[in-house]
Amino acid sequence: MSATRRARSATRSLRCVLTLMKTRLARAAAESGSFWSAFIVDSLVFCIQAAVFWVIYLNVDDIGGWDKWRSVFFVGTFTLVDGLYMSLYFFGLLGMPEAISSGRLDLYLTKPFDPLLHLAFERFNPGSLFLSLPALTLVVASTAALGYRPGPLEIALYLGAVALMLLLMFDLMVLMRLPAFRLKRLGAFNAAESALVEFAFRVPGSAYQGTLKLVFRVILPYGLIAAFPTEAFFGSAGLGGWAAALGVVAAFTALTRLAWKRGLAAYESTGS
Amino acid sequence: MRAANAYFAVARTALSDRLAWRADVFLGAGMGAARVGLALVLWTAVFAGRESIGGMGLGTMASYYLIAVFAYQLDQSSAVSSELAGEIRSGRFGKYLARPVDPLAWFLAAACGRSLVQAAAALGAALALGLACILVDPAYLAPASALGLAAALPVLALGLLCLALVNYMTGILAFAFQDIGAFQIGKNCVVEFLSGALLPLALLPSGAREALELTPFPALASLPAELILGRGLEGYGRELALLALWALGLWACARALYASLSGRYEEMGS
Repeated sequence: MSATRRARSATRSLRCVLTLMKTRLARAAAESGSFWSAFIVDSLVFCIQAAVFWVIYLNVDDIGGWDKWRSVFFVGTFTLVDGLYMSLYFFGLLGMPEAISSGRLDLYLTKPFDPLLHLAFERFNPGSLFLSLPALTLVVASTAALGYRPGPLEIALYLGAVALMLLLMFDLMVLMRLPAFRLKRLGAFNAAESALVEFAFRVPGSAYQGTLKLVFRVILPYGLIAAFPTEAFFGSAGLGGWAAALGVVAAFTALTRLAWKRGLAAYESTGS
Repeated sequence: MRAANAYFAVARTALSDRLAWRADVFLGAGMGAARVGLALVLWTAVFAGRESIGGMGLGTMASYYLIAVFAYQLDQSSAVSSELAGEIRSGRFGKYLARPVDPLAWFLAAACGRSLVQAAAALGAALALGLACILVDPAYLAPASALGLAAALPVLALGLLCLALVNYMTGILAFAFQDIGAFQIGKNCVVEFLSGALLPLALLPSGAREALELTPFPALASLPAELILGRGLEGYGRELALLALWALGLWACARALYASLSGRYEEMGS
């Protein structure tokens, strides 16, 4: 495919994604119950996450060299990433196994839009975006408490790292659901994902050392999601850290695309 | 007696159904092991250079998670509750009304059958993980108390019953609400934290800990873990009595909620 065609296809995909989001926004405005329920649940998860760290810091001064405020920043970043991915593609990808097993995927394959992006963004949930407000409050408050004065470069690096982690989270969510092309039940994969996400967000980056670092930052890179933007902001990521994170995200994105294509090749639609 | 036989059959069917999805059961237990492992990663970093935290050494902390995480996994009523809510919303709840069965007893029997399978898998996974820890370092885990183990079983059973009753009540909220999924997720997060499966309740400030001791949630993870590790036997009788009272109270609430909500049920042909 030529570069022009690629650019055209990407622009069309982006336009379709924005249209899906607008449609969902209109629907959310009509159903205020579901709109607020997502926000309330997310806030609850965020409060529990904060409570876990609060209890730990009642008993110790630091975790692997991270003091209380660095961990508050980490929690804020986790909440920001969580709120963004919950609003953008979380609910769409949750429905992916059902779409595959019920044959609903047929509807997406027949439309002139990337079926994976269509599935992912069709359930855009604006209620979760509100979670960004307490998240940003935590990020700003912890930065102030640490006496850290970030420049435009640190802020840009932080935002870039958050965007990169949203892409990585998308890849990981898709990969965890692709077995639906071959398996009837994905309960164990869901449990695995839930455990990995939960602890990756609860374990500060400083806790991973040696082999664990390789496992949770490269092989199952859930450990990068909240820790890497934190490191990028405070300048501890370095060039090597950025190269490794970019490499991991590129590899997982390529793997996701390849696995999705192979899954589609094995897919038996309702009409086949 | 015939009624008891009917619910025994429900439990047996739920058990067989769960056994039919063996990979799910074993991988679920494997994930419990992963949770313990990841908790150890966090606590190893927290313990760096420290002898004890909240009166617990790293070995006691590891043993605590080994018991608490797997004990919390025993509950299967949450999944049965989601299915019940689905049946209510899709109009398949009529099967309970057409048969001479009590929906609450059916729910508890099904949850019990499933939990038994999960208990066998969780026990196997906990023993395998414990053995692996001992092989790495024989002094790593804190010793278990046989008396504490015997004391923990009724506590755990009553805790699971209380949670099942709470889950039944959240499930039948589907009579009144279109979607209770978000509510279920929120409830699961809160209960997991309050049970002590996320972190030992002994680390909480004393006021919060004392308040939590008045609820049935620590019986799902924290209390059994403490008992098995030979701690907390002094107030055992009081805790057991409190749990029994909670179970009775929740049972009455579940009955009252069903009576007030079930009249709203409608399905095709009704």
